Amino acid sequence: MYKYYFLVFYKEYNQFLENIQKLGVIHVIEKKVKLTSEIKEKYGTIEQLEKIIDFLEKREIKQLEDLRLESDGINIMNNVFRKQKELEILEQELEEEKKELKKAKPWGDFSHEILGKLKKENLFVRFFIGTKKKYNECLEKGNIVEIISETENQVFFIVLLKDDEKAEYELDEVDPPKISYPNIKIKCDELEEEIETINRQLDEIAARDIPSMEKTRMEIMESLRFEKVKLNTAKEADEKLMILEGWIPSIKKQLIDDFLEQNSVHFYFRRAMPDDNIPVLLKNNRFSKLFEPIGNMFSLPDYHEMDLTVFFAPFFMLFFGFCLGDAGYGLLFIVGAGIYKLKANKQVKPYLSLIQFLGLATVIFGTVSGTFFGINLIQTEVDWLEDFKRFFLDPNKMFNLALVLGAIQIIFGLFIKAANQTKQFGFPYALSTVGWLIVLLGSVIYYLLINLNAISPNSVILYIVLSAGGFFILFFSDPKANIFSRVGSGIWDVYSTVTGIFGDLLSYIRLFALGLSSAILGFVINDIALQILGSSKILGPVFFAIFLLLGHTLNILISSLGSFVHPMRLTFVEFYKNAGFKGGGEEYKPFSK
Amino acid sequence: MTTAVILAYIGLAIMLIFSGIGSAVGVSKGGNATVGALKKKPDKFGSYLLLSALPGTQGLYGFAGFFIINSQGIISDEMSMLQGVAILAAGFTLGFVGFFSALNQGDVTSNGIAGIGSGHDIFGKTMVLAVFPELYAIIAFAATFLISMSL
Repeated sequence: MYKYYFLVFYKEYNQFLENIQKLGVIHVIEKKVKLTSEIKEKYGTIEQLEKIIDFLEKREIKQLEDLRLESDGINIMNNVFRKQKELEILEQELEEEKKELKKAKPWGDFSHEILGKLKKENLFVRFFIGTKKKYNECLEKGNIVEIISETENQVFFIVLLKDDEKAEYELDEVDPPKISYPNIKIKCDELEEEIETINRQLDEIAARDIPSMEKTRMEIMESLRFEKVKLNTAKEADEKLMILEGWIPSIKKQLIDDFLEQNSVHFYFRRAMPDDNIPVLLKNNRFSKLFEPIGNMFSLPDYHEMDLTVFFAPFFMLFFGFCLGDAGYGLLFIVGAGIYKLKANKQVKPYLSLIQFLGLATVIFGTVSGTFFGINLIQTEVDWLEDFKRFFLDPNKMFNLALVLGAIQIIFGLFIKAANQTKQFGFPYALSTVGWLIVLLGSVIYYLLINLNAISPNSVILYIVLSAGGFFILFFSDPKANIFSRVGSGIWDVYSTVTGIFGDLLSYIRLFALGLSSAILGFVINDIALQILGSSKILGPVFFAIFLLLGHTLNILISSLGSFVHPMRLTFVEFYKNAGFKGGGEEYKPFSK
Repeated sequence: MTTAVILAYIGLAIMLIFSGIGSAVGVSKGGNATVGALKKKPDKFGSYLLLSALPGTQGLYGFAGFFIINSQGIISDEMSMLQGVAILAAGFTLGFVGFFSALNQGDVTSNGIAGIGSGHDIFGKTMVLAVFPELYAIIAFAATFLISMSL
């Protein structure tokens, strides 16, 4: 990366910014500045637009073909806002009216005018709700009683009383509804019609105007980027000189140099320095590029660190295969993703390629462990398989294989750590890691040679290896410190690494256990399906097929989730720790359209 | 019916009951957090679903453990006391480790779901942190497998 300083006269600055936005290669260095009210407002507008677009998209209305791109998405947004508010008020009103409707329904159609006239004649109509029994008691008392309506356990009735008569019933007396049932019904219908009209209008907007709003949102975003760049510009010489700082990747340097020459812009540049906070642009080959999204879940590497994507990618792929470990499932991944690739868009294709690679690893490990759609090939009596059976690994061997793979990744991680330390601080700082490599690799090779009967057990060789490694570990764990501090930190390093590596290694057992559990679940599904098959001549095969399909789909989903997440943890925790990866890099985001 | 058979079946019951209950509670925690988070960010349902599903695996380890022991075909009146006690020990191990691991994994995932609902970009990190407690259930399952192989 190169750090560039651009010096532009204030009158030409906007034009300059437009040009570099078109060019799209400068990562503008952001300063600690307060956002202006204009920028905050734009952020607010974008958020509102997104909310409204989301609201309209949820209506799931088919988009019109002949789109008229209205320029002003803000107008449309405000229109939708107004309609939303109206809708809210009307819906609240309708809810209230419906409550009233429920209350008025048992009393049917009556007129407050008639009740008023009766009052003048000293006759009072009282409204009661009670059981049939209570109603009969009223009748027996000789009152003028009339049932208005009744349900299974309630009677709604009125009693006609004179002014001086007291109605002493143990009943719920209610006030007559303010408006009679038919009138409330009319009001509700009107409200529903209004709501429907607004919803229709909103549907029309949803079918026609989403692209216009998207366009406006993009325009505001673009101008926001523009404003932010202006905000990060230093102003000198009575605000006549604009100074912009930015990062350019080496591969784009020629592009920016040509542009600056053509436009006669004054500039100054320098190489990135160790203390700079430099953005990161990852450079990976076609295979490891597919694994970048996985690495990004943890963090981008710091600019001065090595990017470990290319180093963890093959391991991640193998681990996924180990955990899922069913050749049939792997084939499904390869074929399924391959078919989907034919009609997928450009952005999805890398993910599908990743799935295919993971599928390939699953086929490899499914073959190694002898599992195909839950069928255990080791125990299956098939003639043509007999010759291959000696190549299959039984669970005990898979257990050991998981630990061996773990050991390989940890030692590989230590090599990377040494390379990383050399790159960042110089070779003396890597000596302690080299010491560990001597100890670990030396011990592994020593025991391998003994096991292969290449050498006879000789503890002197082992002690020489341990002493050589131990010397570097004890005296070079902190090259800057004095001799006593070095030994102190060396002893601490020995303790933490020994316990750490042992724990890390055991962590790889998960590969074996997950592979075994997904294979067992597949086997169980087949077992139950076979029992279903034998249960009935006609329905058996049908339910057999359904159960197999459902069971294996479920197993693929659950096991794939575990198979993806656990290798991720092994990468981020065990591998990154031993490779000394810290991360924390900032992504290279060029100022562009 | 010998004492060894009784011990073996108690072991299998503990293995299934505790790992199953742990997973049921664990995924429910995630589900409850999802219901809350959906109100704030309904578009992240995919992330919530994946995180909620994580504590479901302990129950499956319990079942897989039961299956490998059950399919050995050693549980019978002729089995030795040693075999009965071994199966009981495996049941205790996988049942209890699975139970607590699923329970606490549910806490991690539900906090993650709540965080994503509040607008933080922590899906990947929660995923990795959530499999930390699961490792011990996996180890217990591996131990169960090793016990079953030695019977």
